[in-house]
Amino acid sequence: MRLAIDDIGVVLGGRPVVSGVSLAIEPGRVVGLLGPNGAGKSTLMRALAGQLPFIGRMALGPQDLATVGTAERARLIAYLPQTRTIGWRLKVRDLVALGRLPWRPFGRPASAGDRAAIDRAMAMMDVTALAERIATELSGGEQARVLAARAVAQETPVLVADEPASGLDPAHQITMMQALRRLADEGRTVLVSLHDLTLAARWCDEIAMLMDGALAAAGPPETILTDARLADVYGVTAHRAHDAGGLILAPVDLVGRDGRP
Amino acid sequence: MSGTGRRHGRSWPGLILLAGALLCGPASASPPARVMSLNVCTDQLAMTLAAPGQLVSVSFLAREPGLSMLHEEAKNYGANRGLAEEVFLQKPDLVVTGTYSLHNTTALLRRLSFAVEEFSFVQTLDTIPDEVRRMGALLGQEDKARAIADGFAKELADIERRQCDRRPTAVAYEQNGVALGSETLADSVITAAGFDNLAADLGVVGMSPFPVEQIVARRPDVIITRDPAGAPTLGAEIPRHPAISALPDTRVGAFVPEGSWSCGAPAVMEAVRALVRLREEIAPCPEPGAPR
Amino acid sequence: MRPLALNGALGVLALSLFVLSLLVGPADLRLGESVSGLLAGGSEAAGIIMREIRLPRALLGLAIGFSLGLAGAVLQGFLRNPLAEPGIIGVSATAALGAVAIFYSGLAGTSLYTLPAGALAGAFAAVLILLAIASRQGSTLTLILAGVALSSLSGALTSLVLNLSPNPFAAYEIIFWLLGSLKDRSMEHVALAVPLMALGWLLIALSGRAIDALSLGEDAAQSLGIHMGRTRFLIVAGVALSVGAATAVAGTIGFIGLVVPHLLRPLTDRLPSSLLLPAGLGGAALLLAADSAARLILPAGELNVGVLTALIGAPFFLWLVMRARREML
Repeated sequence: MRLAIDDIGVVLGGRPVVSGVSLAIEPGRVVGLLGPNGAGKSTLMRALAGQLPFIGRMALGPQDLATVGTAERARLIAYLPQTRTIGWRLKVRDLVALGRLPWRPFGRPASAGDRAAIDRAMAMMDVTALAERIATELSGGEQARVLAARAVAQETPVLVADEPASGLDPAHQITMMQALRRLADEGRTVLVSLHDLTLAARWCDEIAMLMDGALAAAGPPETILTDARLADVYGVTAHRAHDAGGLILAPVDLVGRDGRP
Repeated sequence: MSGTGRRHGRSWPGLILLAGALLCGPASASPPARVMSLNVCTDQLAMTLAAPGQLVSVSFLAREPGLSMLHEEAKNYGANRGLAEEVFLQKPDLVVTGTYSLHNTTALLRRLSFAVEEFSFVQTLDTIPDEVRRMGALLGQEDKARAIADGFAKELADIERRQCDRRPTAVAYEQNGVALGSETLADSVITAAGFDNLAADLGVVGMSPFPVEQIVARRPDVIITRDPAGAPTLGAEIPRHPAISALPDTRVGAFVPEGSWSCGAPAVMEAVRALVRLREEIAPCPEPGAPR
Repeated sequence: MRPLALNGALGVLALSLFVLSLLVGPADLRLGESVSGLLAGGSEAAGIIMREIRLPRALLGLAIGFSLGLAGAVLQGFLRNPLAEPGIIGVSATAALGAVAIFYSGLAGTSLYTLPAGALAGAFAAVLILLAIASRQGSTLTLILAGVALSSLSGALTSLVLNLSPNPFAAYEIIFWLLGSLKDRSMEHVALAVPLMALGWLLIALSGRAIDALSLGEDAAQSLGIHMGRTRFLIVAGVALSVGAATAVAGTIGFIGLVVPHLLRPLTDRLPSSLLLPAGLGGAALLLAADSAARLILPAGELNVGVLTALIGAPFFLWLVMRARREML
């Protein structure tokens, strides 16, 4: 389903944190939300997930998200928060199963369909082998993937993931991005915030660049991640190359160090 | 075990009292002009015996209807809270108080050279005439005291003579499910009126918690409760437990006049008379000479 | 352990202790007398003792223990804090203060119905204050310290109100409110408190999904369709009703909501909702056992049951606190 964000603004503590952001995300696409710290990425994502009041219009397909209740929204949009909280010594499988809560009426145990969704999500995040382990005893990277599997198990048309790849080793960063890629290929809409420009350039179909709460630019990585914009938004220079998989972008230095723009 | 301990504990104040009486007994010839009473029980004796103007203040509890039979009279006197400072300000010639409640105050007052007379906490019907005479001697009201004490002892002897072998069981059941066992004033009243005190029969000494279950299991003929006084308490509910109301042949009620048996004073006779009437109603003794 | 096996075992345990509670008492009733007294009508002493004294006591032990265990489990799940417990965080003490303030003032008459009204108001206030503190400053320590402060304040005010009562006997009841008891309760108390507690259990049960989702933090829980406002209401009202009604008729009985969830959590899958029913049943078993022991240790005078639960619970709490640094959850 097409996610349409139209002139969205979020005010926190009397200060506008996001303003005038408009963005359309087509199903099957992975859209990377980029921007320096404090640009408003997390705020925009929390507004999308229904956790912050906003002005403007958000629509999923024909549905106005402002009129969707909390329970119904959980069947449309899965949200993976940046903060990784695991409150009790839960088994991995039980934790991932929490993703099925929106689909289970009160008091009904998990159905065969639920179990299949849990298995798929664990396989996709490469945590099947950890299923019987205690989540709080896993490494940080493993915990990140387990929590992501919970959001995947929700099997919603839209997945909003806030910094899912931070703190992961390179192999699992790639696992994570591959999983998001595959979800999009299944026809879901994926919005993911990233700090890693290399991952963003490599795995995202589109980039939305936020700066000071406003949308600085949106489009394919090639056209958005230009030297001028990286200097403008992040204040860095980058080395770039191409291969069969597309753009390879590596930040190199702060702007001005070596005299380049 | 605890009963034995309690008995030992009680004999000590008695010894101290005796020593005190021997040492600082009736040394002065003229009666004290200003007397303060700090204890609700000495209040009763002092109000009964003191000459007009002699008693300057009584304890604030003397105005409590539930504790003090003379609560109306008490309003004619000043009220004290038993504090040493109050005594110091009023400068009485004599302070009368109980051995139990204000022990620290008593010691302090003695240090400050006040004349303090203590009356024992343990009281029964038998101790009352002597207590009356002692208070009379302290206040210089020997004749009045002797008349009251003799009248009291005579009426008590008459009542005890009229008893027979038919002794219904009774229990005095107080706030919070506390029963009054042997060595209490209530026990002596119950016994004198011709009842067997259930609590004392079961070995209760002094005031002791008594489960509702025991009451129901033993089914006394009479349960003497206290009318709830003023502000509510939870403890007042216990003697009104539905299990007690469910006993078919048991009479439950405040059969003794309010405050009449809180203190060993001549007014206790009111309680004895009330219980004698009750016993004659439920288990009359055969007429003297009539066949058993 | 499988949930069915665990709940079955705890249910059987609670039921056995319920029967034990019926058989323990100062009146020496034989087993046959007890059973026939319970079942047959009439005004035989055994019948009155069983139906009017021991049955209400056992029923209250069951229901109050269930309430305290359940409230502990749901508070721990909601606050993601294994030390949260109605007694420790001051809900019970404040409920007692509410009951005392309304009942002993005599303003609302001498009816027993004022007790739960006051206790519920006190419990509501305490839970609201604690949730406000927990939402501002999420640390375990802050919540526990705030609870300690609230407990001490409420205990002091309870003593003050009882001392100020014009009835000289009121002051003797301080011990009941601070260290609760099930002594000599009647069917009136059952009728008064159990329906309120049951309503509280229902509300708490309805929050089961929410506390599971909250294992992942508030943001994730909301994205799983959990309405935080509704959840907060369910838990505040559920805990206030069950703990408030329990305190109104039995005074402050501490530590059951701490000890029981903690002992049973390892036997569940550790999802907060899976712990609710076991914690309730375990709480009922523990309180019934403690209440029977209170009658056996001092048959005549009878120990306050809150003394026993504190004797078990306080060292346990201390051990948890010392261990907390290493492994909190």
